[in-house]
Amino acid sequence: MGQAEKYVEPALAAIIFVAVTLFFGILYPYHIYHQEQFQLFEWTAGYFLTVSSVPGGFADWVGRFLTQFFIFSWAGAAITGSLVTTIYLLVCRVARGKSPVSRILMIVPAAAFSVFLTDERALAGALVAVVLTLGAVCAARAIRNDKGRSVFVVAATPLFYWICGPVAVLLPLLEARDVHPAAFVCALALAVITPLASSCVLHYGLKSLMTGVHYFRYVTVVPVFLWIAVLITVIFCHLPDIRIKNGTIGTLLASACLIAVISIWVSTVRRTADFTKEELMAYDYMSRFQQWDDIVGKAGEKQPDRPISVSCLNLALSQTGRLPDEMFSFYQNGTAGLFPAFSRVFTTPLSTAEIFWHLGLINAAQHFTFEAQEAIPDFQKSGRCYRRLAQTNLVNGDYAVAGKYLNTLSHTLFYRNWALSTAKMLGDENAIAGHPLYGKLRILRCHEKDNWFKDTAVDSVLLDIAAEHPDCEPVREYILAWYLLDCNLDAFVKHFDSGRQSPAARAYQEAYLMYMLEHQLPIENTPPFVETATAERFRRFIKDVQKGQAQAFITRTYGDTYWYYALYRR
Amino acid sequence: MRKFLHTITVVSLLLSSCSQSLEDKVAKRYAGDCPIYPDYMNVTVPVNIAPLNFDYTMPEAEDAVTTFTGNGMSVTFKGPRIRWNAGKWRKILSASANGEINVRCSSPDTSWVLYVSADEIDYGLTYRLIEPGYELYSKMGIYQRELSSFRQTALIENTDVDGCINCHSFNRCSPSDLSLHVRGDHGATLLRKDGTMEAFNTATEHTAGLCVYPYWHPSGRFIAYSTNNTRQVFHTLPDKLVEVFDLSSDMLIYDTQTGNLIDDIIICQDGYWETFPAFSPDGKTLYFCRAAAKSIPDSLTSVRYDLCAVDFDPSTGAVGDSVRTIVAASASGHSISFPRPSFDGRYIMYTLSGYGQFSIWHHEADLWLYDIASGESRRLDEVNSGDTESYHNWSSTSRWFVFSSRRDDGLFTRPYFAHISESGVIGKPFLLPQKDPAHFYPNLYLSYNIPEFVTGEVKFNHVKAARLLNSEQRTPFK
Repeated sequence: MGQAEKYVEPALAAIIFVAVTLFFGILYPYHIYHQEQFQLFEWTAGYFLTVSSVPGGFADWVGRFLTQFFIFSWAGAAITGSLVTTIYLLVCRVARGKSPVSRILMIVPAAAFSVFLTDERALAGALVAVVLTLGAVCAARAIRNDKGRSVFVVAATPLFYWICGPVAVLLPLLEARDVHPAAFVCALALAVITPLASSCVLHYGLKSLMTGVHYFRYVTVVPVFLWIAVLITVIFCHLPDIRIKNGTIGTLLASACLIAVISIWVSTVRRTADFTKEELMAYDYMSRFQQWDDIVGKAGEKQPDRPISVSCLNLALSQTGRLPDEMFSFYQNGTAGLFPAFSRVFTTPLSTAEIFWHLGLINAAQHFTFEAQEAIPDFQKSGRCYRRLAQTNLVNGDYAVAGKYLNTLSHTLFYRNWALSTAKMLGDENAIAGHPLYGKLRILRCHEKDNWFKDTAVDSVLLDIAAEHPDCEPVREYILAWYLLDCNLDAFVKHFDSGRQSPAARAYQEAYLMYMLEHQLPIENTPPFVETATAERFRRFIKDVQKGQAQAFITRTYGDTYWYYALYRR
Repeated sequence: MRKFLHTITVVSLLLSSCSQSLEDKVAKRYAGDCPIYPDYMNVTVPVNIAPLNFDYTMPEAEDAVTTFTGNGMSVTFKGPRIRWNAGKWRKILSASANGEINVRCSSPDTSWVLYVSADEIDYGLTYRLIEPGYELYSKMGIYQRELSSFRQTALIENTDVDGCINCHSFNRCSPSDLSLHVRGDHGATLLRKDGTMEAFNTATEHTAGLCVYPYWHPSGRFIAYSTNNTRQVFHTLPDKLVEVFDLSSDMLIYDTQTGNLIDDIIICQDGYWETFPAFSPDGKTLYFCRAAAKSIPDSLTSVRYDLCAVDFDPSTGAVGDSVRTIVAASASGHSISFPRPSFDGRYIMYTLSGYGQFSIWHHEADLWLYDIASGESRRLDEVNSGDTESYHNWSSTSRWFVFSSRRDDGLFTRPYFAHISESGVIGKPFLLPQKDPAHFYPNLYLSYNIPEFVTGEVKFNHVKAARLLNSEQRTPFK
């Protein structure tokens, strides 16, 4: 090996690490956060035993251990980069080809695993399982004695099935040439028999046991990309060594090979990465951490159009006092943009729960948070959900239940300090009353009138709160916004203070003019809270619509008005 | 590497030690005023129960010396955590059968008694474990627990079959015959009788829906089911969370011998909702709950169920022609659910709440006992708490009963056991023993649903059951 050749592998490893880390750190950070919030890694023996009690459980436990650091996106990106890079380095150890071109080709398996990770359902434990299994292959290679190696592969295959899950099949497949044929057949048979035998004892279907219980968020779904990556690994590791003579042509060919591999990698990632989901995750994340101005800023760059993102934007507008003035400056999709309808998934209800929480609908926040956690397909618990459930129970005065959640959170690395400090408030009515958030929410929630909560008729519950707390602006704004988005102008006017003298918020002025038109009231007699400019603009709008102006013109000129929403987006 | 491992170890130790104080705080909260958790003070236990391990909840118990003395045998523990050796526990229990074990603690200075009944409890308990939630569910399953040890095994879990594994019922605590209801895409009623397992589609054109709450006829030939069109609503006030109710419900009886359904008009009356069927131990009476149908959800809080009965002829499967009201709870503004006749034919235990039939979400729900001979009902103050008591079942000997209670924290349901003597004296109930209860229960986010005794180990082939349930094959009810 030439002096330069020695640096090919570390240089490529560095490129892979940097590329993967930058991709997840800059372009895909909210996928990183997404992973962390749907798990709860506890530093307890009980948690370890529970997680590791299924095939692949140990790898899953290590994956969850690593995922807890995804609470910081760059840490998560670096960990992901490290896992992919480690796979590359191990594949280089295991592969037949040792030439620079072979080293370049070995990027492909690592790249394939990184492609798998662009799916938010992919779990880090899958890559840990691959790393551990490749490590076992390296260990087998280190055994000089042929017989010893054969015995090791036969014995380690079922053991690694338990530690890593079915990707342990890589061990016999990659060692096929280095062990006795009988040992190879035996190990391969064990790789099939072990899940078969496990299915008689464990309460998992054979399909899950054959394709991985915890590689993918959905236990019953086969992680196709992962198994394609495994197949690619087997094929590339068995490729013969490709040697190109040193010199300019050799360097050019190697460079062309590298460019081709990287091009294919980039184009595949572009196809598989879902930036629409990334955007939704971003809105949810910012809503979770109350980054209201960032939400409004992001919406200014690109209008959100999904119920989750629109509802996060509306919450941000409400929390910054801008909802009645600016809500129609952004795309609105009906009342679902205030409270997305309940769905039996683990993402949407969690985002909606944030809205209920900030409006004082504590039971609804608890309900939606709980449901989101229950819907996590691989039955994990969620640090974010436990924290919110502790809070809702604290505000509701259910201290024993709140204490239970806090106790569990105290066994984690990143929620522990918060849990311990919050635990001091358990049963301390004065501390809760004095807390800036809990004290406010405790006053705000319903005290007198019980109501049946329906996510399709949240207005009636909000009206109960408003009746008890007429001064609560966000609740009042949400009620009026509900009627505006529902185009129920009669209800809007009924609950709007139409006796006010000062100019009302823009959406209210516009809606009131619309109401006047609908009820054939003379627009010349506008009430004092409607500004002259708004009334003038409304007249122009009617004229333009009557003239049959082009849709594009109407959108450009009046796209930020309630009238436009009511007539064209309803 | 060594340094890294050292760091990890130190961090782990730090975390576990720091969080210990919170765990203790939680355990103390669970214990309430009682100096030990679980509260095993002065409880009556069967001679064959698993060791009653417990923890002291106050800091001064660090140096506690606890001595158990029973019929000349004495066992001493030092420290706040009482963990029994299974052999010693069995010996002291056997020695004290029909007597008592005196417990004396030096610090805190306290003493109490464990009453040991010679009435053995059944082999085990089956139950569903599920988080007490709203509509969705995470991991759940039906489990059995050996009551003389801490061994718990899963019968079936929702990783075997994609669905909500629901009501399970054994015939008079027999571990062989079983009815199991699964909801969802793979919904079915799984019936195991005489060693044969079959998946049924229990919805028929002439019934209101799927069969939900089952109860076996003592002969094993019939199974009474209710068909419930169940819905949920959610409260906005903090003291209640969920309300589960029926839009309609009827009852029917399945004849396992002929495969026919008996849906007599008397148990499917218009204007009434019938639910929670239960046969008398002689098999000649069918008890159930019945309420006048109302507009839901507007009149939800005024739906009240009475305890009713109708004659049943086990030789023909014929249902009598008149319904008798046994306990008219609605007249006093209450509602009855889960009637369970004792197998000795003396009592019917039921849950009484303010309204509706899903009492687990009602903090006011209590257990009541109806004496069949005298026709009198009484509230079971010996076992009720300030929080929910709901589902209950009798042991095969009718000397023990198990009931669900939310007394620990107001949300997570736990199984408690109580003894009822020949003369009707009821002992103080005790919580299902665990190896490390002060750690186990505070960290358990699952509720024990539908606890039911079994007289022997349930042998259940979950692979076969999963294959049946996951297939499209369903035997229709006729």
